[in-house]
Amino acid sequence: MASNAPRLPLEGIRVLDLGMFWAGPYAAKWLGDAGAEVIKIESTSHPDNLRILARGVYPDGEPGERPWNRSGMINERNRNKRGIALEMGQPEGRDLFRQLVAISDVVVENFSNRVMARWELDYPRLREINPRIILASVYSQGAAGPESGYVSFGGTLEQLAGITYITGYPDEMPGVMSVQLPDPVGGTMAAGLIFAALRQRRLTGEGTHIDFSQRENVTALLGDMVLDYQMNGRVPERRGNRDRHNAPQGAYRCEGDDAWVTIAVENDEQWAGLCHAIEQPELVDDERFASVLGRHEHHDALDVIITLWTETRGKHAAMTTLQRHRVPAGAVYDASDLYADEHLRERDYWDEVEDPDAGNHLYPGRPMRLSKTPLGTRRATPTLGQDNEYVFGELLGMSAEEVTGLNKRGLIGSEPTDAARRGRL
Amino acid sequence: MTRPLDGVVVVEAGEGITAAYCTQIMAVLGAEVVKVEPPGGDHTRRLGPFPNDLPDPERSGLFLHLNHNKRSITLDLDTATGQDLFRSIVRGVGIVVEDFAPGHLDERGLGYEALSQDHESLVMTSVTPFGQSGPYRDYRATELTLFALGGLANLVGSISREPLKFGGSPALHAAGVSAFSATLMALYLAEEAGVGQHVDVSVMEGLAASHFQDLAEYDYHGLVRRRGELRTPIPCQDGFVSFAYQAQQYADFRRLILGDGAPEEDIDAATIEQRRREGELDTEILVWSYDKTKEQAYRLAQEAHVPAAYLADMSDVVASPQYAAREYFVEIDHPKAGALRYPGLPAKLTDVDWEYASAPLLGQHTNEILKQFTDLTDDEIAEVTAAGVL
Repeated sequence: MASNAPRLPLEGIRVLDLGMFWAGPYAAKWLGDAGAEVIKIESTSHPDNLRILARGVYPDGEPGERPWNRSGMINERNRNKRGIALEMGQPEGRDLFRQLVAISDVVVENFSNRVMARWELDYPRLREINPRIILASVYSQGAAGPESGYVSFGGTLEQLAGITYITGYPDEMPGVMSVQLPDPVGGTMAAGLIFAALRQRRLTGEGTHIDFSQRENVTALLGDMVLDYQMNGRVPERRGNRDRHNAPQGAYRCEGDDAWVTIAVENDEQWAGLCHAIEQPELVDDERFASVLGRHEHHDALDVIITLWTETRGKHAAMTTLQRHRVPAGAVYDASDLYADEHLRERDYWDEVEDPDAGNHLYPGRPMRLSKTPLGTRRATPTLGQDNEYVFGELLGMSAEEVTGLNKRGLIGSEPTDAARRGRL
Repeated sequence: MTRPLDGVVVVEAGEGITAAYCTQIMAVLGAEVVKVEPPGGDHTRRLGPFPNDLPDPERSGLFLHLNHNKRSITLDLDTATGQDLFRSIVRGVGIVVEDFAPGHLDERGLGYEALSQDHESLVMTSVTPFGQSGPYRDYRATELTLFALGGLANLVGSISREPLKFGGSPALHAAGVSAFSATLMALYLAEEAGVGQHVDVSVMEGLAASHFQDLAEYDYHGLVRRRGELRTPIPCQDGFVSFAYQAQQYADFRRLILGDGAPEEDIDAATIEQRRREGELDTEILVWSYDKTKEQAYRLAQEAHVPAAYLADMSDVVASPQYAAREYFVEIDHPKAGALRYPGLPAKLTDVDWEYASAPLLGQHTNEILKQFTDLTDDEIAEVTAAGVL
């Protein structure tokens, strides 16, 4: 970064990231992207589960000697962080953690709601150590309530929050098809709440406990349907890709293997654009399709007409032609399409990162760019226990001998235990 | 009691879900949000759902959900007077959030360059489908086309049929959440160091960062992942449940289905995954589930430490005992739409109570906002109103 550029937003803020899997680590990654010093805390007995997945994603499919440092899953979500492996299950490990709390600003965790209390590290106790600490608990369902102790993942939250039921083909049974959207959206929301809590701390001088519910965060995305149910008693069902307003709307088969373009016509102007795009301008005057009500009524016929045009074209070509006629259209992108996409390339979306054990890879950028403080990847994902010496030596002022002692007593380390390697935590 | 965004003033203008959802979150956190609507009203006022399906711009469920806790001013930004008034209001605020098409505000002299001229600490967030630059900048987009281009639709649905979007508009709402967090990130620096900036939020780029496994599989070893076959959940008396146990819960899962006599096995995660794919215990699971309601099955599984869920439809969501215990839904009375229960903020902060207020009527606060942010007298306001600017 040029020396005259403003500092990053969170420079000088220190974050302890106890997060595992996705939502917690993703929230902490936002803080790291913003310039905070984020210390990811794992242990050799309980590394982040993404390091030891049964079916990890390794360079060329090779787990290599240290698979726990080579998985693409871990290496994406933990950029811009340092990392230590500290045995939180041991009282002495928790004492070291308390020392870190005293010199930190934020703790992020997404354990089940029993864990921090069991460790005697719940908010009242963290606050005794450091009244300015902000504890962000990215719970599945919040700190209290009959289901608060239940364990969840992105997929179960999609189901409990109401998204899965309304997703699917109208002529089939409901299906479970998770893309784990609750995790990134929950992590993002939690990050925003942490920024808000930091501001509140500036006003009050005191920290806070963010008691966050990932399930609630997903239902909030369906607020209009929550109101519709109360206004009209309507329980929304699966409707494929169709819409209450837009018509025609759908995913249409294109030339190529599993190639599709999505199209959504929002108004009469776009309908006329579609007719011209598919070289059937006479359809503009077809009374059946003249109004949005008519287009809804004759949607099946329209789908046939549109497919006859799309199935002889590639998905990119179809999208480009439709967009030239001002019709909302988007190719169905897979990973190879995203990496090749000219728009993302021109906007310099991808972060190129060299991981010590996994080599050079391209990782996705961020939803946002800041005009004065660019937010790239400054630091690759830490290998397990990579920063033990920095954190215990430099930050906590322990001697080299003391740090070696921690290693010998199994309180810190850099390789997962045998049980952890087998995925049996 | 101090709320996190007390003293923050935000102007929101635009035409969709993203900017409105972003500032709705800020409003509940304590920010004062001024919503600028065109004289004909915000686009979402026309979208519904409406009570009894009767269109009424004051009773659109989408608008009410996105705009509670805000004030509304009508302002015609296509007129010079409207533009002047917008500039006056912006001089009195710290944040502008907008989701017009790229260039729309610039063409009216209301882009970031113009607005930040003598307002260095201004944070302006622009949310668009594809961002402020690049070949797709001016492309049209909707929830569905963005879900496709962001790489999510490819993963949803059955490989033998067309890819699917999620129900509702979660992608656009998610972009609103990204805009919220990105704006507060920039606000933190603006308040610490006096440096404001333009925050460019792209819906597509947010979605592309929301599903990483398939990207890693491609970049790490060249595999292109597609949606598989739909996994049918487990039928119960009144619906469906599903299990999501990991290796460490496998023994609990077997005990749940087979009873306490289930033999203990010491097997690794890969073998467990293999067994699950092969449909181990499928019949036994049906025997276990058939006489239970979906909520009973969910609770029994979870009480036995087996991660599970039931497929909640909207009536289940609204009736959720967990949501009730957390007081998640909050009742807001609206002069035209009446009392309804809305999703509240999905978080509690120590010793802070969120306050909720109804969405504004169209232009309900025009006069008071003009008096707060401009020097216009009552006569001048009447004049501008007569000219159709308000």
